[in-house]
Formats: sequence, structure tokens, C-alpha cells
Amino acid sequence: MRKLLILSSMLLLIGIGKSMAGQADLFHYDAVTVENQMAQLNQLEGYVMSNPGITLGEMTTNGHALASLVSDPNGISGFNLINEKVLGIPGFLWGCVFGVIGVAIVYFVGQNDKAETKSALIGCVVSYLTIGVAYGVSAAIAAASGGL
Amino acid sequence: MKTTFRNILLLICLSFLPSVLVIGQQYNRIRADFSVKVKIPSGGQTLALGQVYYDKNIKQIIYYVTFPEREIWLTYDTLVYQIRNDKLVTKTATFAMAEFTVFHLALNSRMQDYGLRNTLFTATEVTKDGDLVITTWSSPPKNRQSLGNILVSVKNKQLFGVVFQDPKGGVIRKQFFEEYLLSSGLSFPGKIVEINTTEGRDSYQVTTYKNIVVDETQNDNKYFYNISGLHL
Repeated sequence: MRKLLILSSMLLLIGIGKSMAGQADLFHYDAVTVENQMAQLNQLEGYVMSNPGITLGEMTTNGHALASLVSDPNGISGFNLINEKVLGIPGFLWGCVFGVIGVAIVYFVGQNDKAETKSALIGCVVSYLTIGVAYGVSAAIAAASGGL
Repeated sequence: MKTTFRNILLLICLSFLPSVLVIGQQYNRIRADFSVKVKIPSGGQTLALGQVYYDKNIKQIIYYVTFPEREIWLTYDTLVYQIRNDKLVTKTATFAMAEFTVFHLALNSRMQDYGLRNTLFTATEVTKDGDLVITTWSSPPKNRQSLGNILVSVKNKQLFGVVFQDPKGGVIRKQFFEEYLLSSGLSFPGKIVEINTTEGRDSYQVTTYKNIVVDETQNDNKYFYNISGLHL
């Protein structure tokens, strides 16, 4: 019986350890892979830093080989990068998590996407209903406590 | 008796000292040199360099871009402006509100919870593994079928990583905040690595910040851009 208890405890500890380690493992990335992916851009950055004020247009005009790294068709718009969805949250969830502000954001962003705005609006209503239910329950509990 | 009373009084004063010091740390402005490098699975890539200015009372994030072209990227409210030679090139809507940026969170000493404390996300689990303290933030129960958890880890009292999961627990996005720099008492990440996973393929973004200046009293005109006169 004692051995069984010790064995169970050990298995439990191993299980807890594994589950915690699993979560910590999520906070890991392959730095070498990232560096390799950035190698060409690092080279370009080094060139630009050593030639302050130079632009891509000037590099292209001069026929600089590094310019082709970020020119069409390889180029993507850096300007569009700051247009990203914060937290990567779709319309419904913006409405749900950020309420009216979320709906407003989706409305402004998705002017051509009525479905997305509607989705955010539904999310907003759902969230307020949830809050409403929570407040209702709290009020009922408070009332009951007061009556005792 | 008098000595005991004095000691108690001193103890009370000392116990309040840390909170007074924390309250005293109010930051309003930050500027830095930035570089953003992005590579997407198709092979497309981009590099942007310049300086960024942010005043939390004005809430305009102003990127003075020097590469690829000399221009200004400005985000304010839910709009982002592209300005070249003081003329508006494009104006589009954006999700990137100032309140959820690293600049605003850092100035308000809110980096550790990634700003999630102000949302309907709730902290449902806190675990410690080695030097990482990991908090799991979950959406309201009714929405968990469509929205996964956000895991936030803190290391040495600094935001270390953020992991976004889909409802099934799959990782869709990871962010790592590294190489913290200290400027006027404000701790700010010098490097942010982001990995986005879509349909099993990863895209990478590395952002670096250098020469960080906090609460400078000069360059007022750099922190505010009069957008009222801009028209397409």
C-alpha cells in the first residue's frame, strides 16, 4: 500500500512537471531559423546604415543588387504592416472583447465588409448580455444575502 | 514607549515608500530609432528604418521613415496616414490603436499584462516554471469556442513572451520581447521577435529599437502632427 502511494505521488509529480514544462516550451523559438530568415534583410540594413539617408528609389536607380530584395515582386508594403489586426482578433471577437470600441474599429476598418461589422456587433451584444447576466446573478445574491 | 511608537511609525512610512516610488514613475513620451524586418512564407520581405515618436497624452504614433522612402506613417485613433512631403498619400483604417502598442503600455508600466487587464479577458491560471511566470488569459466562457487563450510570460519582472492560441490550443502567433534597455528608469524592449503561423507556414518579423529617449523636453513638434489640413 505504501509503495503504491509513493508510486502514485511520483506519477502525479511527473504529470504536473510535464504539464508545466509543456506550457513553458511554448515560450521557445528557433533563433537560428529567425536569423537565417533575416539574413538578406540584415545585409540590406547594414548597407543602408552605412549610407545614411539613402532610399530604395535611389538604390534602384543606381542598379544596386540589394535593392531587388525588397523591390517588386519580392517586396511587401511596410506601410501595410502597421495596419495589422491588433492581437489578430477577428470581428466577432473585437466586438465581444472590446465592446463598442471594438465594433467601431471593425466598422471603420471593414467598410467594405458588412459581414465582419455585423459579426463584431453580435459579439458586442453577446458580451453585454454576459455582463448583464453576471450583474443579474450578483444582484440576486446580494438581495438574498440582505434578506437573511 | 516613545521609541516603540517611533519605530512603528517608521515602519508604516517605509511600508508605503515603494508604492509612493511607483506612483512617482510617470512617463509621458518616448522616442527611438527603429528597424522593422519582415519575411513572409511566399518569400516576400521588407525593411523599414527611421525614428518613432509617441506622447501618450497626444496618442499619435509618428514614424519618421527614412527607408525605403522618406515619409511619415502616423496612426491616430483608428486611422493611419501616409504622408510624403507634407502631403497625404493614403489614409486608411487600422486596428493598431495607440493604447495597445508597446509604447503606450511601457509608458504606463503595463507591459507585464500586455494590456489584457483592461479587456474582458480574465487571468485563469498562473504557473511558475524556472524563471518564467506564465499567466493564461481566457476570453469570457461563452466565447471560448471561437477565441483561444493568450499566454503571457514574465521573466525578471519584464514581459518575456506572448503566445496566442486558437480555440483548440494550437499556436497561431508568438511574440518575444528581448534585450531590454533602460532609459530614465523606463525599461523598454530593444528587440521584438514575432512569429505568425498560418496554415502551417511561418512568417517572421523582427523589430528593433535603439537610442531610446524618455520624456525629452525638446522636439515638441515631432510628437504632434497637425492632420486637420491633410486631404487626399
